[in-house]
Amino acid sequence: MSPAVLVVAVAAITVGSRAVSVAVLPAPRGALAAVVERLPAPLFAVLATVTLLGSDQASSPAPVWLAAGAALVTVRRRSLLLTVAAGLAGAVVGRALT
Amino acid sequence: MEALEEPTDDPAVLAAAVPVAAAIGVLGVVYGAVAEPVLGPGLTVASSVAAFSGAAQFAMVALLASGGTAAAVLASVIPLALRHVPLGAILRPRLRSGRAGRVLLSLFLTDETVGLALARRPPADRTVVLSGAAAYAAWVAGTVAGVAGASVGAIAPLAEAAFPVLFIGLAAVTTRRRRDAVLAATAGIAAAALLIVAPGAGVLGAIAVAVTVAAVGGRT
Repeated sequence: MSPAVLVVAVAAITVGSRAVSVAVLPAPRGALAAVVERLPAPLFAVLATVTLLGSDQASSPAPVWLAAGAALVTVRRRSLLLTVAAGLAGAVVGRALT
Repeated sequence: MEALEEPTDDPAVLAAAVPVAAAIGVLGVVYGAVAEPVLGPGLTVASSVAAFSGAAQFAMVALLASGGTAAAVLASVIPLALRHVPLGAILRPRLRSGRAGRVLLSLFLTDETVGLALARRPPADRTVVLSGAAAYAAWVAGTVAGVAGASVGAIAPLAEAAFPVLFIGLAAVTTRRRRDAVLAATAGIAAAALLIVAPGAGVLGAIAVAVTVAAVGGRT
């Protein structure tokens, strides 16, 4: 498979899965809807964990952990801007210290 | 913790999208720089225009650069794409567009745009489109800059931290009640335990943890 065909395949899988999820699959109902209503915060929490720990046993370097720690300090404010700014500042400080 | 919701007017949505787009733009520069030697300049930019998926594109380039086969690339991209199913299920009740509109809107369905949409009152359609367009423009522009030779060295630590920090922020803005915070912390700790014990569980294993915690959390 040429790289161009592979890029097309990757794009098709990605775009297709997005479209199916909101245009083909039915809206959740009943008990499933209740689970889905509770899902966002746990879902983003596990995605943060995956990006920190990785799936190949290659854990993140120290500046990334410092960034995550700085971001966690701000979460009670519920401001994405503040959390991103604090996290990236933590990364810069971590880079300077290591 | 109060049940807060962010403003839904266009300037407020775009203001909220700025830090997300900025972080995605930084990642785009890194992607452009690392993908260009593997895919060439044209195909690198085309991949960002067509796929608009940092996770899938980085996985593809990393595998190709290390001699991986096309089958290996597809095997790694499919689990990443499957996370759109729970994202879509979360977003679907908040959309007012018809089927054709939802297909168009899905072009901007990302972890980040869903998170921003959930922090606001429904309907979510306009928030997804506005924040998605900003993120898409930043991703493609960043890729072009990376291909053109923008320096990765200075921004490398920011790029490595961008995804974890974004996801922590999105977990925070989608937390409306104390219960959500407890569920998020529980899921994060449980996913960490799973990935330490069974690293191969990957993204799908972690998502299964989140769904399980959300399901069990309703009984407590």
